[in-house]
Formats: sequence, structure tokens, C-alpha cells
Amino acid sequence: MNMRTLLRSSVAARVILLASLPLLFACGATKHAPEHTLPETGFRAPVQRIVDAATIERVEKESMLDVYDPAERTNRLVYNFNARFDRAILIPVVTGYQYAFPAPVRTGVSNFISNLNEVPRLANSMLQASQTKVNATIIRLVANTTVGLGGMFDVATDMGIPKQEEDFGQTLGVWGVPEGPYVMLPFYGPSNGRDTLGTAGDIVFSYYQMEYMFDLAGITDHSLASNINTGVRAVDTRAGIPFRYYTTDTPFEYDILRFAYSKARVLQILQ
Amino acid sequence: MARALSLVLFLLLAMSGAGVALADTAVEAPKYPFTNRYKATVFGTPPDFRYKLPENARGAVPEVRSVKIDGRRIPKVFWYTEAVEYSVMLQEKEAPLIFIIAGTGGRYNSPKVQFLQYLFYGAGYHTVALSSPTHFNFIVSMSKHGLSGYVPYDVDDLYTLMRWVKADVEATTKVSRYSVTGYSLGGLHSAFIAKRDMQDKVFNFEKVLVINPPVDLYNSALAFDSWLAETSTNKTTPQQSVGMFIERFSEFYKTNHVGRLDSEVLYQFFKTLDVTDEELKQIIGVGFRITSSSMIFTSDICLNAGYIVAPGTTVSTSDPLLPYFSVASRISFEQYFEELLLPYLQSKDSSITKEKALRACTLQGIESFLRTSENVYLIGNADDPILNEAEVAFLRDVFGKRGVFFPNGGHCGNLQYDGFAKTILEILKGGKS
Repeated sequence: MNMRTLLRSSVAARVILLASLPLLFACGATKHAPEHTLPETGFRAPVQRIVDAATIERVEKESMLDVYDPAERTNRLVYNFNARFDRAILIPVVTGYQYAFPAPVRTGVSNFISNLNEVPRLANSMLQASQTKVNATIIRLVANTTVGLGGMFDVATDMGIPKQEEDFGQTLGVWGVPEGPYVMLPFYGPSNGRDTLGTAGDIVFSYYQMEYMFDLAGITDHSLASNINTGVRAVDTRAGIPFRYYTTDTPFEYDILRFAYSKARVLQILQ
Repeated sequence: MARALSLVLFLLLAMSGAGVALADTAVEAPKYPFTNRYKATVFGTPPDFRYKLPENARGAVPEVRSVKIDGRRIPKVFWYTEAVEYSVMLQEKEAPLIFIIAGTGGRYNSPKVQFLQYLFYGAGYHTVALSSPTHFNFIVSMSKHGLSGYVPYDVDDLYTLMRWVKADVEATTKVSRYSVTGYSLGGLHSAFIAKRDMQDKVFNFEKVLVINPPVDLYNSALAFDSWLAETSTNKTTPQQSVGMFIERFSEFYKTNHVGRLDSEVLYQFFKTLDVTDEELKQIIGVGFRITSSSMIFTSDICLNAGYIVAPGTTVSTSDPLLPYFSVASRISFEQYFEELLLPYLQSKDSSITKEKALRACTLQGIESFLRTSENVYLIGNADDPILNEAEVAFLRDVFGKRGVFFPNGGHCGNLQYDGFAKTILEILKGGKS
């Protein structure tokens, strides 16, 4: 068995093991309770406050939570898909990851990835012509790569230089590109026209950056390295987001999230 | 993207006015800081004032369990919430078990419930945290009638679920005795559960602790509704108040270069807020409306009553729901009661009147039980905005020595406050009387 197949099979084994771990903890029971099967009663409310076409039109004008979302039906289906994918695959893998590796290791992985991302942050800070962001990002990159042992430790934050979270979507915002309609991206989640373009830009940038890094590291099998890179980043990113689908205590989660996302992005661009 | 989303969540939390997460550090706790009842209710307990959990409780993680009812009709739009969920934290050895019932619209893992769960677990209890029967997961997956807000129905469902949980826990774990508690509406529920158990004798509760309950569900809901009413005394509309809240958070976020987002930051934000009582009342009222609109929408769909969703319409997963939210959030509790709840009750039992139904949702209705039950205790605040003076007097009188009142704290604002939490434990542990 050569190195490559060994690496591949152990990665595969690890993923399967990690994915199956949470199943051991899942605990759901089924009850036979005929009284609680919710049969149709035929009951009708004597007073009605039916939502009709006129209401829908009025809501678009009046509701504070309304966001321009012309593809809402499709977006809601994508949201549903994301939720199912999250429950069935991402969260089990993340749980397994957290179970298999101690917190210091996970923090190291997170810091390492974040350090790689200082490069696109630097590019965006430059594109936004912000000297303070550029300076902070350069200091962080240098300090964390050297003193922080290749980015495993975030010494810059300890020194009081926090991360400048800049992405291409924000840069477009700074340039005055309008946000466009709300979009629910598969896998990625909430976005809008502008941020979708931004995310595409981030992906392309990251691709070329990683190709360069692989060459630098003398890695010949780029597609394997690239797959591992994508997988690790996905798990690390998901592990860092506390959000869980359908836990906001309201059936109007999509609407509230849409509103909050739009507000949050406006704030980030201002900062 | 990660940060954008955590910011999103943070905004959500700020809007719901919930106390966030558990305190990780606390020195000798000083006096509870908010003497204004509305501020207390909205701002909760700042980190430095919170009860410090013992070491053994900090690392523990609640285990989520669920029960799915065989053959239950689950409306399409609620595909994701077909099993009723609750969480347990069990000791390794035999121990007493306490049930915790969430307040209006609260989930089993909402910050207040989780705080109580850790508090009791740290004190040596097995703990079981239950969502409020008014939470939409509970309505969809557990409610016998598919509608919520009528206390006798809700308590029946809770009691059934608690019996299932008891059997489930006892299959693997030794339980020495049972207690039950709850805050807000969950507190009122726990009193009714105790009364129910006096007849059925399933749990034979050692202690029942009612925390910050309404005395009269309807009365308290009317108070919330009145805070939202557009009267000549209200200078701002509820929408404006919420808009102001978000606006000021934006300002705070911009000027303070918020790096990390945690409960400390949220508290710092609250400290900078200069708000009037009127605005705070509207924020509390809006929070209640968000909860009640979720309940109304869910009940209407589960019951298929044709109240806000046109009769015969099946709401699908791709349908826009904002119009339903908009309509439901304009419905006061009084309207919900008169237009949906009461007619449904009357369709089941033609002898029931409005007066009877309302009385069935009050602590006055079980006054003699509360007076004579030596194991039922109360902890609350004298300045709780959901109670009027007569109701506070009623609680003091009925519970007598079994009742403890803090002068400040608003409605559940001081739940995590060191002094309050310690008193809760004292009541459960000893015969605080």
C-alpha cells in the first residue's frame, strides 16, 4: 500500500467513524398514544382573519421584517435542503470532530485556517483602501506565522490586534454595489446578489491561493490536497457557527433570519 | 460568513431580550442592579451578578431526548419538528429528580431553563427540562388538541409527557423522589401539575416551586397587549420602539468596534441605552407578540381551523410565511381567546362559558389547594410587571410563609441573580419556612 492510498483510506475511515459516532448518542423514542394522533376535528373558527392576496401585498409595504426576496419560494426550498443536509451530515460530522479531537487541537486547526485567510483579508483591505485594516492584517499575518508557529496560535489577538473580517462581498459593498435580492445559497446559507458575487470571488481567490500553497509545500497530488482542504474548512467553519436550523422558537425562522442577515451585512460594511 | 452569522444570532438574542449563556466568572455578587422593573425584565442579570455554578456542573452537557407519537398527523410545513424534545442531565448515582417547565413560548434549552437545569444539576439533582406547551414544537408534536393557551389542556399534555419521561428515566436510573418547578407561565403550570398529581399520585412531589408566575394568565396577557395599544399616551408606536432598539444597537456596534460578541457586550450595550419605560414596555410587548403569533399560527394549522390560514389551504414548505406572521402579530391575546380558543372549547363542551374558561387559567381557581399544600412554594418579585397589586397581595396571602418576594427583579429579570438562585436552592433543599 503506497502512501497515497493509505492516506486516502485512513481519511475515509476517519470520516465514516466520525459520522457514525453521533448516532450512538441520538436518543429518540416512539410512543403509541392514540389520544395524541391529532385527528381532523372539522372545527372551524367562527371569526376569520384570513391571509389573502390583499394582505400579502400590504405586508410587503408595511412589515418591518420585509426584505426584497423575489425568489422566495426557491429560496425556502433551498433553506429546507440546507437544514436537512445540516442535520443529516454536517452536524453529525462536526459532533464527531469535536468528540475525536480535544479543544486545543481544534483551536489550532481553526487558527491555521484563519491565518491562511489573512491573505484574502489583506487583498480586500487593500481593495477597500483602508490603511488601518491593511496594517492590522499584515501585522497579524507576520506575527501569527512566525511567533504563532505557522498560524497555529493567534498571538496577534492576544496582543490586542483583532481579526479584520473582510470578504469580497463587503468590498463590493464599500464600492457601492447594491445588495440586490436576498438569495439562499445551497450549503452556504443566507446571502444576497452582491454577496453571492463576493462568495464566488472568495472561492476563486482561495483556489489559486491554495494551489500556490500546495506547490510551495511540494505537494504533487493537488486534487487530493484540495479535497482535504475543502473538507477541513467546511467542518471547521460549521463548528464555529453556533446556529442550528429550526431552533429559533418560531415557525417564522426563515423570515427572521433573512431580516437579521440583511441588517448584519449592512453593519459589517459600515465597520 | 461565520462572523456574519454569529452577528445575526446576536441580533436575534438582543431582540428577544434574553439573558445569554451561563456566567463564567463571578466575584462576590453585589446587589441586583436594576430597580426599574421594565429594565430588569428586558436586561436580565448581567454576568458579574450571576450565580456561580459549582465546578461539577460546568463541564456537563444536557442530553437531548425526543418522543415521536406513532401515527400523529404532522402538517407539512412542520416536517422538521415532528418529535417532542426535552433534555435531561442525570447524576451517576441515585438522586432526586426535578422537572423544569419553560415560560411562555420557551424551549427546553432556552437560557433561563438551561440556567435552572445547571443550577439543580450542580446541587445534585437529576434534571429534566421541558418546553412550554405554548412552544410550537410542543403544539405540533404533543398537544392533544393541537392548540395551546388553555391551561387545563396544556397541563394535561405536560402531565402525560412527564409520565413518559419518568418511565424512560427510571428504566436506567434510580430516582429517589420527584419535584417540579417552572418560571412564568411554567410556574403556573407546575402548580396545576402538583394539583393534578394529588389525585393521580404518580410523582408524589416532594417540592413544588412556582417561580414568577402570573396569577391570571388572561390578565397578564391583557397587560402586555395594553402596552402595545396605540393610545394618546403612547408617543411612539411599537414598530418605532423596535426600530429604535435596532438603530441604537447599530450605532453601538459601529462606534465600539465590537470584536467578540458575548453576553458582556450585550450588557455593555444595555448600559449605553437611554430608554423610556414606554419604549421598554413596548419591547416586552413585542417580544410577547412574536411568541403569541408563533402559537396562533401553529395552533391554527394544527387544528386546521381556518382562522388565519384559509380553510382547506395546505401551507407548503415553499410558501412565504411573513404575511401569516404579520396578521398573527396583530392579534391580541384577547382576540385569540375569544375567536379561536373559546369557540373550540365550546365545541368540545357546550356548557363552558367565558368566565369558566378564564377562571380555569388562574391560580385563584386552585386557591384552596395552594393554601393547604405544604409542599408548594413560591418565589417572585414584588415589582413583577405582569402582576397588579391585588395579585401580589393574593400570592403573599395564599402562600404565606411558603412564599418569598424579592423587592426588585421585574419579570424573571433576576432569575440568574446570585441571591435569587441561592434562595431557590435553599427552598428546595430545606424546609424554608
